[in-house]
Amino acid sequence: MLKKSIYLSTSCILLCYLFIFYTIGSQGLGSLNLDFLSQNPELGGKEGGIFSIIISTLYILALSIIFVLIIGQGISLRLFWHLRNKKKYKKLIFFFIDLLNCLPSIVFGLFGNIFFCEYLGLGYSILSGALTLSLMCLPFFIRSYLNGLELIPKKYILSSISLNLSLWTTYRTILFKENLPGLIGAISLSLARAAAETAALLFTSGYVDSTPSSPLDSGRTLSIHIYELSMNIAGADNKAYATTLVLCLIILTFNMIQKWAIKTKASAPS
Amino acid sequence: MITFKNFSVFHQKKHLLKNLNLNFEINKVHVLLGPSGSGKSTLLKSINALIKEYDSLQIQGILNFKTENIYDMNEQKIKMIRKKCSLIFQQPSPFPLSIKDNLSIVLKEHKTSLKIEKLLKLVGLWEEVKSNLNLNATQLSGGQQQRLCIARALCTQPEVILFDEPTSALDIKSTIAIEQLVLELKKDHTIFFATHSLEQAKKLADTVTLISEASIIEHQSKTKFFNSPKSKLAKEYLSYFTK
Repeated sequence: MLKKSIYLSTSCILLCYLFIFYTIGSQGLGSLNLDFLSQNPELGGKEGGIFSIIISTLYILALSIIFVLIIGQGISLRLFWHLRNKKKYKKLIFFFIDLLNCLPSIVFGLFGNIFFCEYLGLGYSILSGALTLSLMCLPFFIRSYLNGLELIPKKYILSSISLNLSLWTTYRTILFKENLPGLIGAISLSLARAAAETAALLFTSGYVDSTPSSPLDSGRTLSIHIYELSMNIAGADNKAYATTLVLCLIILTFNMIQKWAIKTKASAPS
Repeated sequence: MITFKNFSVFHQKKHLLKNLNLNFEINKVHVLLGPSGSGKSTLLKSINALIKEYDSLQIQGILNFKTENIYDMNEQKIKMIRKKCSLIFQQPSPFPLSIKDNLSIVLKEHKTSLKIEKLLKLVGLWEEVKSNLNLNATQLSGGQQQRLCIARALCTQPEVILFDEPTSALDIKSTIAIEQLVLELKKDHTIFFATHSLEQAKKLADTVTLISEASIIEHQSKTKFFNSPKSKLAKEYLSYFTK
């Protein structure tokens, strides 16, 4: 009975995925070609390709991942090191991190709009979008990175404390190397989440579909482009599907990297 | 001098160390004897304040290093205590780095002028590894790893070295090498050596402390402990092992 229900639920999930991929593939593959990838959009995306959209997306992702890497690693390490023997505080802080992780992305979008665009005067720009995305990804990154750190054999941490090594030395020589697959996994999953994000960017990076020349220019990401094509541009459904296909491939790549990182970690000798 | 005054360690309501009143003199080998779970490791971890890493443990009483209570010290002083009292764990725990890096990161951190070669010679490892210092330390044998850990502990130039059953996972050859090393280190260091083995206690000890169920049963010089133990439990322990 249990076996049957497992097969049934697996088949249902697989069928749903197959239906989605079939719909996207059958409608989008026809428009997906080299011209589509190398040309800029025209008439709001109805004509031309998605070159500038891909550039904007990569620009925002690259910037946000730099912020996440610097800030996220710093916070994770501090939490890991200073809360290692304070379980109660750890639980409390993890509760708030999880709470932030559950916040709808539109809330981050509105915050980013008020704080980065309005208060800091960055306007609708790649930088505002990247900063908002990095804030959105931070709780997720911190949780994933901390999970990786917790898997490092305790004997290394105790030896380090016993030898009175500083956090920086311990990080540089042991934690970074030992948790490199964890770091790659956390980055790739954060990137996948950021790449698929629409609501947070609607209010921060803007809609402009030309290639951004600086971080202070506005830019349109793939997910916003899909939203625009399917909701506001008549007769651009095939382009929307082709763009979705490109976005799915990008996210799939990030997920594959994460799977590889986990596999590497599992097979690495401790 | 390390002094315990009414010193207790609890986990919830269970005693891990119960009302210890002891003096340990410097530049001697103090062997801690007792069955598994008796409190030997907790006692060693109390001396270099590593039990502070376990937030479920509560501490009562005084543990003086020289004249100052370790558990009244601020974070900075605790770090100094950990530098002065190096702990060697039961299981060898070299970092997953090269043999050279295992020592050099500690030497750099503490800005000590000791040479890697000298340290490895001191623990009798130089001849075995001199041609391959870049080998990952985790690829060494258990005995070699443990000797590397002792060399690494010496990088902080400690006054006290705490050995937590360092030979329990090693073969006879490695055990003898470490025992000889302990006798060598005794000249310049105060040594605490936790073990199950009476033979080892006989070879190494200046004083023997028998611990059972978190309490001190006997704390004597080696000669007195082996020739005229006071407590019934110590007599039983000795007769059990000499049978």
